[in-house]
Amino acid sequence: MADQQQTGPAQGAFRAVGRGLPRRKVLFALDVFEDCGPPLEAVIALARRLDADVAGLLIEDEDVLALAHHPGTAFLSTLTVARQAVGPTDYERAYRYRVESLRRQIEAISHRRQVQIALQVRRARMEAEVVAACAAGDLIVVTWSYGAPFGGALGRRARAGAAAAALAEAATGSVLLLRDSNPAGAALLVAYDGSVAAERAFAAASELGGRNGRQVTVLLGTRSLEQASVWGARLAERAAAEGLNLVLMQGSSAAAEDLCAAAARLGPVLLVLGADQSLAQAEEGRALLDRVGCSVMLVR
Amino acid sequence: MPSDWCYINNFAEPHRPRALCLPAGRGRIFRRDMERFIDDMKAAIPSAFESDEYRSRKNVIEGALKERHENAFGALQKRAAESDVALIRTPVGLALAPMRDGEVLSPQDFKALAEEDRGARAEAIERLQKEMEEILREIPRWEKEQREQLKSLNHEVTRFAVGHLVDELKAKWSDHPAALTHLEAVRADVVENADDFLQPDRTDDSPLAEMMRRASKGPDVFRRYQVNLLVDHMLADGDSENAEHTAGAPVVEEDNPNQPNLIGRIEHIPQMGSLVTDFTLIKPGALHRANGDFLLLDARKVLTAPFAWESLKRALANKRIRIETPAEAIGWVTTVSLDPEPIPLDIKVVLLGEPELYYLLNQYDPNFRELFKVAADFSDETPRTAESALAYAHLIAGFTRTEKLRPFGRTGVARVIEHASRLADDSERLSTHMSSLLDVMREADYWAGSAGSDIVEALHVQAAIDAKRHRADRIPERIQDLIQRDILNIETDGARPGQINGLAVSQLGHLRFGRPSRISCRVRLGKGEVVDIEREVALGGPLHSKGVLILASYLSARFAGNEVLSLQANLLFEQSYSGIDGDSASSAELYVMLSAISGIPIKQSLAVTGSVDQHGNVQAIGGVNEKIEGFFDVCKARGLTGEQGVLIPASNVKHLMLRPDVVEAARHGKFHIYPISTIDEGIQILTGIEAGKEDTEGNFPIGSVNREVANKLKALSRRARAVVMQAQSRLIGMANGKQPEHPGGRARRG
Repeated sequence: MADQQQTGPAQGAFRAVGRGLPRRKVLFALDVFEDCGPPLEAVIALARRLDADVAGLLIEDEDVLALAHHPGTAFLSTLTVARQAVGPTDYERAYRYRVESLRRQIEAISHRRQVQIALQVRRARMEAEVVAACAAGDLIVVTWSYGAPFGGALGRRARAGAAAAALAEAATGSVLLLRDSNPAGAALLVAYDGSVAAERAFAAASELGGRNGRQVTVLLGTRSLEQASVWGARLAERAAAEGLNLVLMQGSSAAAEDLCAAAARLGPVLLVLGADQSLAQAEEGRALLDRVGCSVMLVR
Repeated sequence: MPSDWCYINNFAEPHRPRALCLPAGRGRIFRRDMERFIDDMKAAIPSAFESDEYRSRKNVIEGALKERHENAFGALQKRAAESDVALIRTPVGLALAPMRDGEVLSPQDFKALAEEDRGARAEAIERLQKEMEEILREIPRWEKEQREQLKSLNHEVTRFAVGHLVDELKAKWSDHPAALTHLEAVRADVVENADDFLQPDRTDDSPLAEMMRRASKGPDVFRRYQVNLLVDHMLADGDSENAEHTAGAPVVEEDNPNQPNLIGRIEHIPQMGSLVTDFTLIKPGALHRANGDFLLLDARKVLTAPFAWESLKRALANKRIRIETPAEAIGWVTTVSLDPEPIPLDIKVVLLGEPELYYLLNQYDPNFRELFKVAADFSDETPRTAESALAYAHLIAGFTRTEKLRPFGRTGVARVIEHASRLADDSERLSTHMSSLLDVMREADYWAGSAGSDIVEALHVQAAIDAKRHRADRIPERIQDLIQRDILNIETDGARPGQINGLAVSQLGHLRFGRPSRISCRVRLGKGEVVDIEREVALGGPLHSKGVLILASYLSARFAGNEVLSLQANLLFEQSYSGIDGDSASSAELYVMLSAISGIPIKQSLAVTGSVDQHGNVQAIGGVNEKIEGFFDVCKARGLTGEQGVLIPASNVKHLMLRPDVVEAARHGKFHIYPISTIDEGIQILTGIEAGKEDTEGNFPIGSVNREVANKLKALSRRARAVVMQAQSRLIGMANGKQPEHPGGRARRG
């Protein structure tokens, strides 16, 4: 079950894509309990930087909807902090109201920012639908609460890393996990280990930061000074060619801790990783995504 | 030296601005200091809040709350997972659902569970729910603590950012306790409202929402630290750093003394469809500006401006200026507005106005005598002496300079001085009504310019006087026209008994003009009454009636002796259709009555004015010049014969300031002015017959007017007695049962 609508004023055709980031559509997926205002503003700013269109995917989670009929479920009001009896009809009505409210909020932002947003509303299982929608976007944007059991209201980090990593593995495009800060204006942080995936991440960071002189900090993931020098020289040459404001830092093989510390030290930052980079893989990757306090882009 | 006064914000009660008194000239300096303080604060506060240290401390506080949340819910989540319970956000709050292997059990699977298992899960959900309730109940307290910590941080940062600024000002104003108190209040308010000075990121606000937000906060959050300098005694070009450059309080004259201009007003500015105000919109009144010195006010203007008089009295009586609108003063408005702290008042108010106003206020306003104790009564004329004439000449010369007029020659000055006497209606006085003189001088200057003369001479002044009169004399000309066409009957030759030309004066605006009026009298047998027909038809005023009653008294005393007057004289102003008053025609009425009684005709070539007393003395009247000129114009139009003239009271001679053409005619004997002291003098001139003085036996000379009058009155008296006796004899006959004989042979009842 799905419906699709165009919101906001009509705009011109898709323009030429940027070098290194062959994205054409930014897909913003959110569940109905998220506050879409700040994240959507960030997505719009990012799409403008990438000359990309914005698509919205609003998911009515079947699992959540089914709770109304579940005989073993208890509902607790966060307003009155008391247990409440909720019938299926009232539950459905409250859900629809929330969806409409969110839709109006998106339309208002679309109108104010003069951006065309193709909004789809689908009733499905959340994670499966997001994975399925990945084919429709070059960049999938989910908020940090994605995958969290309370929809972000409680324990924002819970399971977010695992969910994001799973999504990145399944998705054909890149994935952006949004945190509080706006990645469109933040400094960029790249974890570089010389791999092809790291090269891709650096290219994406160059694309995002090169046009307006944003600082791109590269953490060189090696203890070897010699290796670090080689990588640094190579990156500096490319940065000079592209006019990047490049800062090099040497880390260690235990890069997850180094990344978390660097991100905390740099303030508002967007961490750019290759989706298949070892740092983003397996348990270490999940732990990193859970712990790091900034937005993360996994580049495929 | 009077003080400067400012209004400053009352941070505790903003609707009651505080009044701040500073030494003369210091108000402007204080205002400038506060403006600089605001500028410095605008830079210092955002700078402090943008520092890395502030951000770090703020992040620590915010992070602590998040961590608290995460710790609490993380632990809860862990316990829920251990109990196979899922915590899920829903549109109606949080749901706790049974779970297996990380997935919510479907309803079918849940129903398929063993009874014990379902019970255990229900118990787990119940337990988790209670734990969650405890956490949720704690959240508001955590958030409140976080807000207080942030507020405390903001206060600390703000206090540091503005502290040295306030301290600098306090050191500078250390000798002014009121200013120090205000500066401390400013410091406390800035710290308390630190959040207002930050520029929050409100990119999500729509333009309307942004406008509403600004409206709710007011136009400028720094406005409340401004100083509204109400009274400034620093010189306009004074050095704001130098308090020596001060001006004393001037003598203030308020030309438009309505209530707001007197006691000040509170202005409003439109904002989102409504009118709002604050202490910076308080405007001073004349009382503020003149506080400590003198205020000159036109009494009539103050009295005619609504609420102005009462507000002025209230301020003077209370010795303080309280600004309030008329609606507030009478309790019509109850909405919240400003109630500025009253300012102490020490002032001397000079009310300027006509004497009548002074007497009325003195009589009817009990507060007036208490508030205005010193009366200074200035005359509008001054004696005409050689010294005053010289002073007048100096005055005229001064006016020519200030008004940039041509110089006045000797004849011009003399004519102006004569005109000043004419305005005073007295040849021995000069009018001090300068605006009237200035009008004539300006116009004389014009006529001199038109004639190509560099000097204003008498003919130019006369031209101005004539032109001014000509512009206003439509009505007098109309009356003269009616007389010349014999529609108004005024005879100027011949002689008639019982008819005389009286003289009246009328006033239309500033124009006074005289006009002759025919007075007639008829007499017959009566009871000694003089009937004033004007009074009978309610056209005569009380003064006129008084004059007529004096005539009866004069007649009785002069001619009746011990006998009863037995006549009825009817007096009438012919062709008079409006009210008349005054006793200036009483001598004319007496003359015409004597003529009517005696049957001796009166010369119609003469006109008469003057009042008379019971002894026959003729007394002064007003408007003598206009009256003479009014009759002169009639005679002149018909042709001056040399017989025409006017009888005036001798005591009015000093008031004669006649037109040059009248003077010229009199000089050549073509027109006569007879000063009269007694009725006998007047009747002799009017009839050409000796009036006659009574001898020791009370008899008048034979052939005299008075003899004729006395004889006629005695004849009337005899006739009256005969009539009475005849009537009495009839009554006696009736009492004896005898029918009186009637010439017709028929009985008649008396």
